[in-house]
Amino acid sequence: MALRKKVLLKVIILGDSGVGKTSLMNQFVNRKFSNQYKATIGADFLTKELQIDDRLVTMQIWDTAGQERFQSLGVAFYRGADCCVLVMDVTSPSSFKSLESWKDEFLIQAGPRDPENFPFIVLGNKADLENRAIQARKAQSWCQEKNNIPYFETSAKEGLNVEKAFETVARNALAREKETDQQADFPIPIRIPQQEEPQKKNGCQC
Amino acid sequence: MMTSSVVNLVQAKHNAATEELTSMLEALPSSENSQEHREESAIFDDENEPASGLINRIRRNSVHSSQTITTADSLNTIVADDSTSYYSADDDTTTSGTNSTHTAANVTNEEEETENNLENDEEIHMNLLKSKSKHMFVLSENGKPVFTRYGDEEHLITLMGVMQTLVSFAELTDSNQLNYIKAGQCRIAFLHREPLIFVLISHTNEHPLCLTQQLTYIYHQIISTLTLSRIQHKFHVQPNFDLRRWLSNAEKKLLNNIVDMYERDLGMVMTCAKCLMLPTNVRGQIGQTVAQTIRGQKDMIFAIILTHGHLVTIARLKNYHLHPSDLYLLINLVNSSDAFKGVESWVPVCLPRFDSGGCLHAHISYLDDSCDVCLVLMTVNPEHFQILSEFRQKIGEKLKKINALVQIKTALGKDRLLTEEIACNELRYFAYKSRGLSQYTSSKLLTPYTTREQHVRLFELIRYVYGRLHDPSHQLKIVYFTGEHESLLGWLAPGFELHAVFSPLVTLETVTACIDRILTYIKRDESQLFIMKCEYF
Repeated sequence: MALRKKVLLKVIILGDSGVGKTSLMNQFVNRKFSNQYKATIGADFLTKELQIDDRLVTMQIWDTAGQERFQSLGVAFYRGADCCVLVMDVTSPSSFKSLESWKDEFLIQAGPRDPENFPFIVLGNKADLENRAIQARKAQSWCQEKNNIPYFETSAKEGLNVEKAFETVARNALAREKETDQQADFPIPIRIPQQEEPQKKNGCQC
Repeated sequence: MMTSSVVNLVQAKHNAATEELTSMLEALPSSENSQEHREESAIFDDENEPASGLINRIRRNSVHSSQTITTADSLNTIVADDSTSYYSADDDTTTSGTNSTHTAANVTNEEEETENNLENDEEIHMNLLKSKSKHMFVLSENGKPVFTRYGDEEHLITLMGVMQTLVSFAELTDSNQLNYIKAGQCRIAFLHREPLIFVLISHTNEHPLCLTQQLTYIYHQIISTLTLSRIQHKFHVQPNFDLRRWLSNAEKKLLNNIVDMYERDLGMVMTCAKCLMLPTNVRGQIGQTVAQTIRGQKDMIFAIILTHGHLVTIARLKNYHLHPSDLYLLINLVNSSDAFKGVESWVPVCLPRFDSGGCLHAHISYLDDSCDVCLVLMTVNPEHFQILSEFRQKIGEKLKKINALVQIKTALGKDRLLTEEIACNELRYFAYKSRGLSQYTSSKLLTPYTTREQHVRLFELIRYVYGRLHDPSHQLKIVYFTGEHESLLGWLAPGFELHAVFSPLVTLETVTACIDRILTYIKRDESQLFIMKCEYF
């Protein structure tokens, strides 16, 4: 049972079609931005390594498709996620309204333990644009209501806050990871009555 | 490996030849070799579905088992492509049910490559994937990597996500199961056993049946060290769990070794044990010695003597069978570590076909100084190390007294079979499985099959024939296959299964004559080649 220094975090990015999920991921991982819009089919995957304090973290980022027709894939994607990034477009009121249902949908499908404290963050993307429709205050107060989800205004185009946002979500997921690890260190009574000697099952001694 | 014209020729020749061969072979008096050993005296049981709670029931000494609960292991049927399209280069995806699957995921856009080290590493890994080697991956349902045969799973994180998506997507649409994808010569086989996903990439002509079999062995290997119930529980309470934390290098070695072993042991393919050829009375003495020593001891289940992967004897509790695939997990365990040499070890082992929910406790030790003869004693009682240790002492002494260890070593040293009596210049190799006994015997591999590469290539061909023979949609009795470098015969008779390899231009008459000699030989020496009678405690 070697304890690994490196932690793997599964990160899900959710939000309406066209809010800039793929662009955010590309900015974060590749530091690149393209004005061209290409709809994501199903999902994209990227990985990025981060150093959070003394721990090396690999983020496995699942960039999902925002389009309705790919929603059935949700269950498969959300399972076992360590954290979830909710994205809206500050110029689109409907994308803000959708946050609620994205969050609920995620919690239902992923079914994490202790959903109240599941590490989410909310990103208000396209903060560089002038035709803003959702004020930061409004978004922030929504986040506060939801058990203080951290809120960041980002611009995938200019790279504003992108790194910081992902770092925050990684940090929160790590903190949660630590908690569960501590729980897991104690042998939980897991056996069905029929089962035998749980204490003898801790790994292989070969 | 083979041009299409050759294939056509083979196909055409195949039909006429097989029919002729079938009638010739079935007319052989020696083929009536097969008494059925299906009763309790059978040593193995390769047909029963695994049961849960077995171990517990044994402990309570309640012999009658009424609730046999089948676990996740039920065989899923594979919608295999038709024989004629086997070598075709078309790209198609097959799922059981419909074939409506299309890719649901885009891997990283290629334009965005280069720059930092991580991506270079990834590129190296992608090249590794394209290489000809047989790849094997294990991931959890959450898309996190667990194991890769080659490379570092740290660099395959993206790929594992894609694999998870493919499997999930097929399951979501019409509740299908993704069994394999064919892309030219490449086959990607999938096996989903909650909470894990197993993936194999092969560039050879292996039958999908065999690909699934290999994935199942990996699945069982993981269970055997971690227990299924423990894994399932962990993922239930912590769906984002990274199973690599439970896999040390020792477990990874076991996984690698089981894959390697499969490529070089037909017993794993035919699910039967390979026995050491021993004079009947010697084997009888050894078996009785073991059984008598243990008799009366509560909680004991199996006592097994192994030598270099060969089974010498097995004694067991009445009514409890050891499945051959579980035996291979034990052999793998014993072979994978030198740590068992010179000491007595006490290892918890889960035998998935026996009971995937709990573990047995194995006392493993060698009976001789040169560490050739290994004794494995298995109990359900974790407190019984001392008792088993005393058994080991007694068994060791008694076997030395009757000179059994020397006899085992002598037998091991003997070059067996393909001796003068079978001698047939065109015959290069054969493997014979007694279906009733779930045991097999085979000739020694001679040149050119003594190199690892050729050995693996030959067995790949045999597995191809095996797959054709066992394809549930064809119900074949005989498969005769002429390849570039050899001709292969696979024969599934009521009592036995025979695979024989000949030179490529052998005539059917010679094949028939050789097979006759093999069968006659085996019939005569059956009692030395196989364990005919099981010993009970």
